[in-house]
Amino acid sequence: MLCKNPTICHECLLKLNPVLKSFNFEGIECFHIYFYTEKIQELLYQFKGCKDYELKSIFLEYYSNFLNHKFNGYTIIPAPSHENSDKERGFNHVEEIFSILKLKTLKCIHKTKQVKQADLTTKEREKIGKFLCIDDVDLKHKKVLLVDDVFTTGSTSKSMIKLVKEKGAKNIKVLLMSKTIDLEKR
Amino acid sequence: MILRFFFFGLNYIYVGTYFICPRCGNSNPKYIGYLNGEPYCRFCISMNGKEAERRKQSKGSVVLKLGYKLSKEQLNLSNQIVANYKNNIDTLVNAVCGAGKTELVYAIIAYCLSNRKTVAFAVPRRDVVVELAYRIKSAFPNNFVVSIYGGHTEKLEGDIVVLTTHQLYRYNKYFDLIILDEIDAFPFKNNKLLSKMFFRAVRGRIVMMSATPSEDVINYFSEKNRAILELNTRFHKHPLPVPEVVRKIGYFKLPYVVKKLNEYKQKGKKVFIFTPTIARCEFLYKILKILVKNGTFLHSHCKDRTKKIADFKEGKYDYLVTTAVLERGVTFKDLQVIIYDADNEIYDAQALIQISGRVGRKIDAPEGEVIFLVNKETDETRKAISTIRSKNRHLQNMLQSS
Repeated sequence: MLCKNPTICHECLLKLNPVLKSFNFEGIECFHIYFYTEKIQELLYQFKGCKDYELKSIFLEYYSNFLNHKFNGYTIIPAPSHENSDKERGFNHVEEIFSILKLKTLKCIHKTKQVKQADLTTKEREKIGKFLCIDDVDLKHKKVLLVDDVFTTGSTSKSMIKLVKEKGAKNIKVLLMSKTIDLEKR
Repeated sequence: MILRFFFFGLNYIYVGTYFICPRCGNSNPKYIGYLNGEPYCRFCISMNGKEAERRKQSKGSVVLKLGYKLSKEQLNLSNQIVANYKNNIDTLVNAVCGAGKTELVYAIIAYCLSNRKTVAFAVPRRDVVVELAYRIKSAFPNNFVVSIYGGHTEKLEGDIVVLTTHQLYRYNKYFDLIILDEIDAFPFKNNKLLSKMFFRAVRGRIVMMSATPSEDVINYFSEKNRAILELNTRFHKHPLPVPEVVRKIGYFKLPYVVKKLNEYKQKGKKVFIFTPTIARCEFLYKILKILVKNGTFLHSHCKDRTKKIADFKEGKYDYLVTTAVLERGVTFKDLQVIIYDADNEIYDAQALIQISGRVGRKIDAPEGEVIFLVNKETDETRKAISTIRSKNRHLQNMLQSS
């Protein structure tokens, strides 16, 4: 399960605290690798906000071999971000994080409006599905793996699942980099 | 070998195959990353943000408003600093805790402002910036004072800029005068990046101030065109409080602390208890709050830090359990200090001197108690006490001769 040439040292990895856990969301099996702690938030900000491209592989490296075997034969569909913000940053952060998995990527979902989800309330987030659209692709009898960086209320994943189901995907699974700690359990 | 020099815009400078960061001068390949084939510096990547624009200093007369008079030594020293500035000499002010270092530089700030030059006052600690900005505002009521620290960066330009050392990256060859206080405090001490950013922001002269300068700093300032000025007395001419070492092993320290707290409570005095780590700070407060009422804890992860400090100043609390955040730059009236685990390895002699310098800073209450609670005396505690004693001897000599 361990990676051969790690880019992150063991001590730093322990600080990140990887926990591969599964949970059920809308009847679909979802996996998340980290909890959205302060450390992850900090690193993700350095990667996304400060454009530190070299950090791209540290998040998934520890489980990369395991995930490659587990999701063999799946096609990755990354969560979308607006074209302009991608251009500004120089790369798409979700694609780059999951590029360490040697799976096919199909970038077929797009975002039509530039919205910052962190500023929105829970009710506003539910409307996010309006701004997503899917290309005309044939997903019939295909295994599909939806990926995203942060999972908070699940509105993005929900609308993505809905779009993919309409195109007739057979086997859908969701892989998330980090998940906020459950509000219900508190 | 032929070295080729390529210039791509103004942002990147190539020297052969090497890349040198135009901002921090880093050329170490460990700290260089590549994005779409273009190199970028990872050493100073945390410091990205809006840079300041040049602004004309506001006209108008400069009024220096002080509610009290400076002592003879202070006046002498502040005149020397102004004279050094006129002769293009950088200055290090080595003055004891509670000597009134901030008041010393008011004269030079007033001189620079009247010549319409830009002035910055940099401090490593955030809490100190808040307090200092308030003090400077009341001293220079006619001028526009801006305070800048993490999370408070809307306005970047002003007559006097009071800021943390982390925010200095926003200024490139900007200030005619930078005053840097507490040079041996935590984030700035031994930090290459911050000191590079500091020298990048300077256009004119610098004035550094410290109570406990390290040898490197003293060596730097003993070169040509640099000068060291010393002040060994507090402004009220009372001796520095000498720490008392109390040996208690393990948890036997707790009953001693409780006894002392009750003693101080009867006299109506406020107490600071310093602990080495955040975890210890919370743990100690958890136990103490059962035995002694009316106290709080404060460390760098507390969200309502400024409110707690303000409440403490008003007198709502009797004691405060804290970490190294309040080690320097704060002034409270009639304060007593207990250092819990003073033999911990995070305290060096400088930190211990700084902490014991919190005591007896006002004319109304020039004396107080400092207690080092230790398992075992260390070199650092001995060194701290001996330096404080030597400064006190200076004072005695001066008083006798005058």
